[in-house]
Amino acid sequence: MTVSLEEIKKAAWDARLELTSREEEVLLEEVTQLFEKAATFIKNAEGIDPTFYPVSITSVMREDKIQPSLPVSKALSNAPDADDFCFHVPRIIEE
Amino acid sequence: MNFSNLTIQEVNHMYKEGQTTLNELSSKFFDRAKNVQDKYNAFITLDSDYYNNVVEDISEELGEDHSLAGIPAVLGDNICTKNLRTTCGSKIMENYISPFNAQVVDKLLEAGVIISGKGNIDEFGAGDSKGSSYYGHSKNPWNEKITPGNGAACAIASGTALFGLASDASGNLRQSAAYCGIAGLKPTYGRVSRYGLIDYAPSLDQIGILAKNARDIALVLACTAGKDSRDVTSLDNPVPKYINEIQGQLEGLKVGIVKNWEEAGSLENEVKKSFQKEIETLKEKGVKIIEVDIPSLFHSSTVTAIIGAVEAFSNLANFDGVRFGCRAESKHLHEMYIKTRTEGLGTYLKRFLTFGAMASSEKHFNSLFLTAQKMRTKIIKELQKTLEEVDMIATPTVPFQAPSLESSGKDEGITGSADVFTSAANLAGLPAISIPVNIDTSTPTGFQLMGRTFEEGTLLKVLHSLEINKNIQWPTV
Repeated sequence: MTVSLEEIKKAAWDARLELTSREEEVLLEEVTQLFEKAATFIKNAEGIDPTFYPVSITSVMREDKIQPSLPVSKALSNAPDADDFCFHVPRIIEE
Repeated sequence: MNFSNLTIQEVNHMYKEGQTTLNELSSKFFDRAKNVQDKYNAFITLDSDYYNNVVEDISEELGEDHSLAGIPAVLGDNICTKNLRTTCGSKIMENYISPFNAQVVDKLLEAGVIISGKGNIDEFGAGDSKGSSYYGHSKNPWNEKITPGNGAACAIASGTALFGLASDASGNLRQSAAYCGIAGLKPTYGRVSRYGLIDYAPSLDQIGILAKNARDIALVLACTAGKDSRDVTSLDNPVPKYINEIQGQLEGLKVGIVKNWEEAGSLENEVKKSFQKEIETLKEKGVKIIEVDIPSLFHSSTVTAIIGAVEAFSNLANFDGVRFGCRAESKHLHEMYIKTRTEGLGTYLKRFLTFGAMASSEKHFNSLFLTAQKMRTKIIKELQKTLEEVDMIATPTVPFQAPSLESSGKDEGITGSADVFTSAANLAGLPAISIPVNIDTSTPTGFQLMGRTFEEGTLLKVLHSLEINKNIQWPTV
């Protein structure tokens, strides 16, 4: 496994972030080291099923009953820009 | 009143005997918290109006046996509190006030706990307790030049709160306990509801307890444990009376020591000696010490870093300036996302999230992320097999003593060097406790025990037995 500076830039874009050139260099070094460590166990993991949660999660679905929920005004109370009903965001398409 | 030595049991006794009142005790603790804050920066938020309202609302009987009523506590600042801001240690959440309480907060308030304030944390709880908070470093009450880990541990060691709740995704809570000479329990995954915890890695994160002794942790765990329908990962196992489980002899218990533990990277001699001393004490108490082989254990921190980063990349994607938090001035939506997150998040978290994006990408998903999840299975199986042979597994909590503040801000690695021994319990969802050792010096450290699922009581019993006859001189503030 190898990594390039271009990959770091692309991943930052995917994460909706801009890194400084110093941050990119540090991360490149860190990821290179991490890949070296990961290379020591890749073969050990062959033929094993992955585990995503330490407990088995039965269902995220609850009974279909009406329950109180967060009032709209409270849900919007922390928004940087909102009116009584919805969030406001800047225009989607660049002028 | 000697704040530094107080425990929940002692405060209950004082209430019962009329040696103090709720108003007197709460006001003295808050004054102390403000003074200590100037010195150690343990808190992100101390709000006198919130504090006074909480005190006014206490209707529980004070001084009852096993009561938490009128007991001052501190919460890590990624645990949501209604009417008291929750910053997650991040600029992006500087003014966030949650519209609801975390489930653990509701439980504590119902029990009459006084929430003193919100403790400093690494940004969103990510990192290995070196202090990557937007709100600056906390200082360790034992030695101001070293990190205390999180602010909650600092608040307890400095006598401004009697217990604390904080998150533990790769060992952060236990590492902070070790650095501050207190005890820290990460319960079994699912034991305590995570509803209202702003976690960065949902499959790893748990809310744990920091306190000075086993009795105090037992009381708090009994209060906070249990199934919560709002957290699908919480489990419905019965909650025992932990306070009864901490009593008794250790004779007959089997404790495993990991083969080649001394070869862990950055293991310091002082930590090694403290660990060996504690093992000798256990032997004297009739505990059988057995060497166990867990070959994949030393891959835990790398595996945890990969899984944690991928989960964080997904879980923290909604911190983008739309629904909450700060927003950067921008001409269009995409620019707003990027500028808000770039200006609002710290340098460590930005690198960590970028790595998470990379590990989730088509190129690395199978070779890195899926491989890490497979290694997780392997580590879990090795731990389960070992715990059929022994009752618990002992390691140092952190291979080194608390890092200096000078070094801790410098390019913290995305694989936490402090997580070597702690992160396996997060991968497997096992309970683990950090027991304070070396607390007669200015740099305490920790002795970790990892147990079977839902056997927190056995871990607390060992802590209780080891703390007897230890005459701790807490740092004077």
